[in-house]
Amino acid sequence: MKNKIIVIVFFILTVVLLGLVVKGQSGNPIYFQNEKDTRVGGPFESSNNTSRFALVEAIVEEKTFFFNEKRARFSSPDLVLYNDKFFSIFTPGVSFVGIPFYIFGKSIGAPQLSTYLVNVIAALVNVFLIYKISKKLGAGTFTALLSGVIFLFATNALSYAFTFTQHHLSTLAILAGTLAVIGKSTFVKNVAVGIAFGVAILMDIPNLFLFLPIIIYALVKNIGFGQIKEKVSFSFNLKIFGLIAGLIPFLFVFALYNYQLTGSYTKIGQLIGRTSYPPKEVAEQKPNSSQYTSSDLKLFDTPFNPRRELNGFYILLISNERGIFYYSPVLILGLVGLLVSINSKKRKRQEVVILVSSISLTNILLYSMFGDPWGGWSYGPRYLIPTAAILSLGIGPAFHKFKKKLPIIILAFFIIAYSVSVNALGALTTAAVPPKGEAQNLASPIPYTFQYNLQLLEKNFSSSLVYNLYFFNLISAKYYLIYYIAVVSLLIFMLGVGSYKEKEEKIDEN
Amino acid sequence: MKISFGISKDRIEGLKKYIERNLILFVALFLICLSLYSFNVFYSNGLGLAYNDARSHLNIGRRVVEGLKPGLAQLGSVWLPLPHALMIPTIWNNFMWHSGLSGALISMASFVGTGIIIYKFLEKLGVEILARLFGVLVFVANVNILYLQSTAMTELLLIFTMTAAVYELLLWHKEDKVTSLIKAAFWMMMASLIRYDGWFLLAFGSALIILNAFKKHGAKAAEGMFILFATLAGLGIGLWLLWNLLIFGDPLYFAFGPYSARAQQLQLEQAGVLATKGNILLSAKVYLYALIYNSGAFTAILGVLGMAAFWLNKKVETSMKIASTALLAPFAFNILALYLGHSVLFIQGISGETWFNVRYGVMMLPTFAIFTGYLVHKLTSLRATIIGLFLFVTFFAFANVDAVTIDDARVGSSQKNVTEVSGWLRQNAKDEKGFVLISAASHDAIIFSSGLPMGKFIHEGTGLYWENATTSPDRWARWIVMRTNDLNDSTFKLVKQSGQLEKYDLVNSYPFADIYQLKSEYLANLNTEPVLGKQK
Repeated sequence: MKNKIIVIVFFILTVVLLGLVVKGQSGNPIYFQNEKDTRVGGPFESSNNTSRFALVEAIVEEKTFFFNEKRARFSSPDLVLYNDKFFSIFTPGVSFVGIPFYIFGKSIGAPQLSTYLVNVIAALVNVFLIYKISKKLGAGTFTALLSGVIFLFATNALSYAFTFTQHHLSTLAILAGTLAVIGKSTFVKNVAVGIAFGVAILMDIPNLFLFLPIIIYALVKNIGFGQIKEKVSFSFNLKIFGLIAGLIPFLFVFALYNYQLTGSYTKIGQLIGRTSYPPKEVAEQKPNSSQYTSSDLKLFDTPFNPRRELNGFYILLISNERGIFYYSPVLILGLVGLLVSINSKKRKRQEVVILVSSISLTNILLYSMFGDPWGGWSYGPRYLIPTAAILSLGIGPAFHKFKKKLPIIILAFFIIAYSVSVNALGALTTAAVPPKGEAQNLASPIPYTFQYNLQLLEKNFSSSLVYNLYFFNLISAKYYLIYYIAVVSLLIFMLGVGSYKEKEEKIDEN
Repeated sequence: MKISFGISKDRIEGLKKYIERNLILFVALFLICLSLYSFNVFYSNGLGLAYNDARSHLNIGRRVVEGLKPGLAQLGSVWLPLPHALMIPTIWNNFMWHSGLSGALISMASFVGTGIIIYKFLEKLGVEILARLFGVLVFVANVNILYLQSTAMTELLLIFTMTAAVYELLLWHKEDKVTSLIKAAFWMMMASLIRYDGWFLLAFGSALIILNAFKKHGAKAAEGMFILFATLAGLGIGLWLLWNLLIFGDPLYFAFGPYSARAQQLQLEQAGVLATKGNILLSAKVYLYALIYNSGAFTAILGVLGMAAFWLNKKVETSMKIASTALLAPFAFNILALYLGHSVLFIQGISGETWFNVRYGVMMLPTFAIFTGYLVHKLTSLRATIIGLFLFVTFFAFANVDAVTIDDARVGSSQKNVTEVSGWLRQNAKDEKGFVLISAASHDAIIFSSGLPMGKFIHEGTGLYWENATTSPDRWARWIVMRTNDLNDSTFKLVKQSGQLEKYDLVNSYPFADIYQLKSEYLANLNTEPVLGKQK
């Protein structure tokens, strides 16, 4: 009972803290609800938001998946032109989830705010799922909550909780799939894994790969080897078909959606390619025979190429542009925690850690091979938000390992404070920071790191709706940020104290 | 609900034993099939002969058996002789020559051999079967290796001999058997006759042998072991020096002659593109990138982790750890060669805009394969993860047919698209009488691609024909192929001195050479038959 109260209080506090960062501008009615303004720091600052939002609008307002010219312009360049019709380049999952929120929001005059709640809720669910998986790994209540709060407030997950992008929903599906697959395999749990897989594919195509470790683990769990007398027996558990049962409805929906757009069940927007609005005439390029590369020989088109790995690792892991350990060094602790847990003598714990590590490594490897590991104009490594969630799971084991080593704990506190500060800065200003190459080639170059966010802050700019509505005339944006960091750090400190006092729990085998 | 079936335990045990007994054979069969398939792929798309050097290697082998002055002297001094000598039994056949198979066969056999050596290497390190097979997979599931093994390039033969040498060296450290030492010496001797990387390995290996013998048996035994080893291992180098003395009059002709790598590097230095010379950090960076681009970043990381796991394992004997450092010889050699300016390697975006010689980085792949196998052996809990992720990345590598060596072969200095000039020769000189005067040092690719018999060409290696044709071209050469106004092209240099060029019409200018044809009024005095007979 005591634990439940702690969890409930914690989630109420988290909701309040999230509420303080929700993007918006003052106005009557609140700005951005009717205005399609793509200004920096607003909810429509990136086309990966607008394209998905336009799809929600198109479905609700005009009962179509296609965009009119106004919506095409709003979505550009995350837009596809096919058979003279415009539609979103993204898979439709995020927009589908946003539909009821949009309808509700429209009825109260706040369609944008309401629709964007999808990711705020998904972020909260992710914190809960991290809490649940941490418990499965043997963490106590406070430690499990600490892992969740580190994920939400000390990584760029915070910035993307206020966007209309795929990241939190993808992470949710992955964490839910993980939770469903661990423990004893049942038909219902396999159906849940299948549903999570289906949802994940609808959210973003690369989730197909991120789910591979979960699917392989589910399959392996349903294959048995044993020895009966003089025979070695092999068995295959038919419960695994639950996975297919869970998956098929979502594939069916996806296929129908594709059919509506392209006339093919399997042709998706991302394979057709981007266009801008208005579409530009592309000059036909004459092949130059002396400029062939091995890419001419490719067996099929894929945006992932291992030759990019080296650059991808650098950008995604340590660079000041997007490096996960540069933006959230606290995750190094999580990494240490996972490494410690891999050698755990408790087999179930070890299995879970290997599973989540595999998902995380797949995530990193996949996007290291991607042509744009920066994720365009973004804040931190947005493609690695699932990895941030997984590394957060290691915070508990790391904390238990080092909690009696004061220098490490003090160092950890500073690292956490730094991580919270950097990510609160992004969430309270803008999540649209250009990659180095683009930033330096702008007509008026701007910084390509969070220095850009600091510049905005110096200009007393905040993207927070609460700040702009209620605090703008009381304190500066900088102080709003400082107070925010202080409150979040205090919450983490309290959870840390609670965690210090608790022991590792027995592992839940189910 | 379950579907179950059982197999008798004895049967499974029997099958297991059968597989274990014959596994090396299965591995060899698999590698042979993979090798043949890869050759067929790259032969079919024409990439097997894309490297300019591949065509030159084939021509050198061919000149030994066919031409105006055939013989062993044609092995020359530009490259070490073993790869060309090994081609001699097959290069006489036109298909083997022009398909590149004569050279590729050596690479293919080396590919299979290296895969087996990696398997055996891991076996000797006490690595279990799955990890051994994974080590082999890391080596063979690499587009760069599969491409190079399908060509007449020398990398695979060098990789094979060097890996075999290090394997025997490791065995000697482990078991202290003289036969292993002799075998190591043999393979190092072979490597020293392929590329200068082998010379470095020989020096490094000698140091390891002295150190190990001294530690185990004292100074006298160390001296004896070294002499035994060096006598055989150094034989190749000794013969090479003798060869240069006998054929070219200078034992160091290969190092300082006009066609030596040094002479080429001097030209590059004068052109200001030898940035690594004198810069150890840049040399290390360039080679590090080269090996990562060849092996793949993920494989390289696994390899480095495997090295750490091996060298930090207290259960592994120190002598084994020391012996295994020989696997790093290519790394040290290439950085040193770049630093000293004896080698040139471009990495797009770091030094130069092409991938020139990036293939040197492939030399470290067996090292990574061995240590990755070891890592998988040690990290039992992460075994499935590592193998799964490797397959995941490899899937994309094959989907993209992504290989820096193919880019090197097709773009920039390593390729030479001589289709136009060789096409003209094939069309106009094939059925006409008369010789073509051409510098093989500058235009071997044209000779190869023309498809004409070697006896049609007068080049530097044809003795009196060359001397006569460059002093009186109108008497010997119906056609002249050269880069006009380029004094590095010895044909142009000598023909210009002869003052006979006005007797020729410029037929056409192509990207890599110009073609001149003797004016019809001089045809009457032209020698069109190999009248000089057998030359010494």
